[in-house]
Amino acid sequence: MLEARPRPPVRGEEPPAHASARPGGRSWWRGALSLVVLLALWQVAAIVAQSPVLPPPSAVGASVYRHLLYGDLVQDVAVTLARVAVAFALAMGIGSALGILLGRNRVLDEFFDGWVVIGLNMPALVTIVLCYVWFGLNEVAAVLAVAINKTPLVVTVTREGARSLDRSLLEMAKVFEIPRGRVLRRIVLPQLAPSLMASARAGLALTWKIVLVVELLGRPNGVGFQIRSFFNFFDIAGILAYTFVFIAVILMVENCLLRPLDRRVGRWRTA
Amino acid sequence: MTGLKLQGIRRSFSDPAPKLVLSGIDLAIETGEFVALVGPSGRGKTTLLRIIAGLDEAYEGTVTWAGGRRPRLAAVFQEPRLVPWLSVLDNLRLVSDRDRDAEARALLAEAGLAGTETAFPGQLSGGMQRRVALVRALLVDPEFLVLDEPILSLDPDLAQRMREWIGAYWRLRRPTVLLVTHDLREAAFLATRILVLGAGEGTIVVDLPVDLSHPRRQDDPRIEAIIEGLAHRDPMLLADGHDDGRDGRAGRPQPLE
Ligand SMILES: Nc1ncnc2c1ncn2[C@@H]1O[C@H](COP(=O)(O)OP(=O)(O)OP(=O)(O)O)[C@@H](O)[C@H]1O
Ligand SMILES: [Mg+2]
Repeated sequence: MLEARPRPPVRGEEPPAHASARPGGRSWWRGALSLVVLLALWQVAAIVAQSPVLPPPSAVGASVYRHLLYGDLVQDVAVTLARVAVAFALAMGIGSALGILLGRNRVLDEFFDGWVVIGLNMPALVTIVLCYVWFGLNEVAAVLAVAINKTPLVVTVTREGARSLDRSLLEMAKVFEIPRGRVLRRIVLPQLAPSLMASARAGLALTWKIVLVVELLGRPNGVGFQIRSFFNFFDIAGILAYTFVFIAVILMVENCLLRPLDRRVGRWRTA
Repeated sequence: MTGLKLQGIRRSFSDPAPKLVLSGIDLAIETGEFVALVGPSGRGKTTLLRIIAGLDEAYEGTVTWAGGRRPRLAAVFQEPRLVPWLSVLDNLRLVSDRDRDAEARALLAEAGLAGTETAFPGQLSGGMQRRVALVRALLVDPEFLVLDEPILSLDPDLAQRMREWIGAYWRLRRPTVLLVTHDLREAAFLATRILVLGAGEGTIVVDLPVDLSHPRRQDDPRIEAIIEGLAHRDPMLLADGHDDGRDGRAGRPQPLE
């Protein structure tokens, strides 16, 4: 007969750690150093090239300053950010609702799986053009196009989470006849939180990139629109100025909103 | 009044191999009875509880509740089934309400769990988690209480205290109780009626009323007599080994009679 040996603890069996646990030793000044090196390389390249299409960092900095003080930069970023926010919220709301539905209902899932695949592979540009053609060159069409682009991604990630919901807890809820809303809030959503966070992070990056295209194609304001006008005037410093400011804003949203949320979601695991 | 009536309940599983677990359960449980269901591992006790609790609908036969509606039900599952990301108190609030916190705390204290309100289930021992699950079941003041081996991984003294607690609760509130246990002594100590799920045949082979007044004494000789009688009818009940029923009754001692 085999001897029963105590099993060594297997680390990998624990629930996945959250992004809050950053590898130690990585400090802010190394990140800063890497940025400085990038700027230096860029400066050197600009000096060597001596071309109007590759302005040095100093020119871009000056452009940022000018647009901040005398231009529409703040307004444009605000407008774009508003579009990102609305499209993001729409896609997260609709996408996760659909994802939960498909993840919990095999018949619906089989039926709509093909639709989701088509949605995932639909080029963003096609959705945008079609939305403008069908709904007109207006705000609704712009936001809708972005939301439609992002929704299939949210659906697939949430559906995966909904499929692996703990059945034993749902059974417990059924026996005790716990009200539906409470089951959703306290049992289902906490299990979906990691998937929702993952799709939120992936989604935010995707959303703002698509919003720029939408603006470039058919809006009279916003970062994307400005980038097109700079393109028309060959103002590369302007393009880069707007881009960097916008990246900075998005990183701030990510760091000040998503990351703390992520940490809160994973709190019970470390408690 | 008949609280629950089962007629011709059959349940088989096809995965991994075809297997008939319950092959015709006929059973009527009166409101307020304390029924113990005993039988070695793998005979289908949990399967039957799941059908009664409405968690398994792939059975043949009928389940009828008095008055045509399912009563307010509570269960202690074979595993604690606490929500790991909710504190003990929040787990209890799931099934009751915030304004019943005082009751929840009182029940926790009675179960020897005072001070664990803010702990997460993962921070409690297995025996403590089971007791939280028991508190959760009692907190909803059930009309029908399903207990699937609620007293496991507790030391003998604590186990006995929990038995007495369950008995006291039953005398006070008179819910209908269906208790699954491997422990004949526990069954004879608490139940007003003992059912034995047969090996191989998947039916109830013994239906024994226990006419002893409540509360009972642990060392009551009549409890001993009941245990002996049951063991006589089905020696497997004492062996407490795993009985997956696959081999039928062939190699096993036949009940006398
Ligand atoms: N979901 C399932 N799929 C396949 N077989 C199952 C399933 N659930 C139970 N069984 C089988 O049915 C039989 C009875 O299982 P059940 O869990 O009801 O036993 P039990 O009497 O509660 O045992 P224990 O005392 O160990 O809890 C077992 O042989 C088991 O393999
Ligand atoms: Mg069982």
